[in-house]
Amino acid sequence: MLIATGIPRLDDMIGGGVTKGNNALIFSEPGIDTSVFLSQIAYSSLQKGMACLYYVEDRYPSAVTAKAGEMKLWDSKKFEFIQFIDGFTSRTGIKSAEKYPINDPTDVKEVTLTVDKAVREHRDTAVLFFDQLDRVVLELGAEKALTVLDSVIASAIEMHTTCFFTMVNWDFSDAFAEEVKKRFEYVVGVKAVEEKSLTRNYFYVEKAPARFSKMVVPFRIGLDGLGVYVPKILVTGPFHAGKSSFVQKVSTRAVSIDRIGTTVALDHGYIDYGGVAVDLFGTPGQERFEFMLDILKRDTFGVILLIDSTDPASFSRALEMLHHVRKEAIPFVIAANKQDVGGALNIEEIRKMMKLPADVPIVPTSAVIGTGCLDAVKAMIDIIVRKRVVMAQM
Amino acid sequence: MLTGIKTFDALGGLPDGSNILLIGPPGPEKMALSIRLLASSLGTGGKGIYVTTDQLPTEIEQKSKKLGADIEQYSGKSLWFVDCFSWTLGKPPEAERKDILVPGPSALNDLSIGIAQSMQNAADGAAVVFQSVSTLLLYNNPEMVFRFVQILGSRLKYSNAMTLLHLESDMHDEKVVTTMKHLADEVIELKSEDGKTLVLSPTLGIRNWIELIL
Repeated sequence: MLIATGIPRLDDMIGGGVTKGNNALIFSEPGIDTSVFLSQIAYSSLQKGMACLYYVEDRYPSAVTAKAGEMKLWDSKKFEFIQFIDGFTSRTGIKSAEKYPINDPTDVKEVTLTVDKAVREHRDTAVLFFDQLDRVVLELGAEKALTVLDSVIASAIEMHTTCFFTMVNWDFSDAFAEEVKKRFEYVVGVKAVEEKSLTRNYFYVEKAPARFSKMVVPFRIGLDGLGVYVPKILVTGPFHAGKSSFVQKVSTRAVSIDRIGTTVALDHGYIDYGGVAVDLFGTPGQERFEFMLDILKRDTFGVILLIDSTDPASFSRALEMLHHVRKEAIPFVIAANKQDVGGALNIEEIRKMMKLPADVPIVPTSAVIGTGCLDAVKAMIDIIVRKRVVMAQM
Repeated sequence: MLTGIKTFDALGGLPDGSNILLIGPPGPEKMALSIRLLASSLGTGGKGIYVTTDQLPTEIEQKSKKLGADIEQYSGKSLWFVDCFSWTLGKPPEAERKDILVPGPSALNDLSIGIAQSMQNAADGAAVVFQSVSTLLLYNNPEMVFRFVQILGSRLKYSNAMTLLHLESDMHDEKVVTTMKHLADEVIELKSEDGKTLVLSPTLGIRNWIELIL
């Protein structure tokens, strides 16, 4: 049986979810709100009627539910069903009203016995969340922390409880990080990449018991929880190739025109496809290269180059554009548009005429009818996330 | 960077992009210095961040007025509070304020997220007041705080921020103070004597206790 995490893309990457009774670690750099991962998994588990046990020791349990409840797409009442193993309230000198209070969170025996009790009372039905294992490490030292970890995992395995831990890497040694990771069947890495003033977050699966996808998934945390995010895809192509129709057809929320300065305008669309949020921008009609290049340099993640399959005369223009895209090393997909129109060349004819190698992706589309457009976007997204993996491995 | 504080400006100001540890007795001295410096930066179009772990943002704004360096006028415009205190009172913070809320001084990861958020508002070269590291040391073990300060410090430095980290004197053991000094680029020590505030900072060239002129 699999426990779905409810985190977009992650479940697909690990074959549907985390195997029941296994343990997963979310291992992140400082400054990324990994508790949202736990909230999302908790929400998904509560919806399926699982018991959620949540160990917390750096804030009031009410702060956990309040924060999770702020996410507007979730029914905040659901979070009231989380049962806390409360290692915080006693620190403030107040008596905890939670079901599983811990009087002294530095007492290894008390912590492990309390967790064990909670898990034991929910044999077969519980998911255990353990937020910020790093605190335990820094507070009790490596050796005692591993004792706690081993004991919690042992209780969980015995009671067929699935565990999700988070750990922030406050510059721990690689050897120690490995020591922790080897205790988990699943490890999800979370990293931040700073690009100028903007920080992008990525997650990827580092380890899983069976086959898993090595994609690196960009995400953002917003009011609707954790969303997988591809910031910007540019839709461009020669005049009259059907760019505006394309953007409008695939967008779930299209903002028709976005003024930049006073003279030029962009089509702007937004699409949520398979848990991937995408911003689409179409270039305007006049197609001045300078203008397109300028946009390309403003952190475009990918380019969908639309060509008019009925107009071979425009191909040289398209190739010129492609040349610039390649020079900037931006991933691209070619959409062979107007496939619905009589006389349209097919993919192979186009590949031949444009002298494109076999590995250049060409997707047949009809922006007016709408066929193929989503496939082109999906092909684009897959290339982008795969490309990011290559970068991450370098 | 010129600070608007005569004692420091006479020495050419304080270095940009540096983490400065401000050690002083419990009392108004550290805050007076920080607020004066912050107000001077805000007054010349600079951006500021005020991280508070032991007072409400409104209290700090009120105190700044008494100190003759009103920072409230900049609040939410070019000054952002990271409020790590309201939650610990167990009551919901004032909704109309635009402060960045952190669940409490033991939520160090959330605190670094809150500061990162405020840095996105403030952009490069902000003046940052962190009041105070001592509260973090009360709620977390020193090892955690050192790692937090080290990582935070390098991020703020990367953004060319000037950061004043408050630390209460006579509250922590010597090892803690030594490590904190080691983590900072500059150390400024304050003390109170006969109603005057005295300052010492060998790294800035103040090798003997002298009176601090604001």
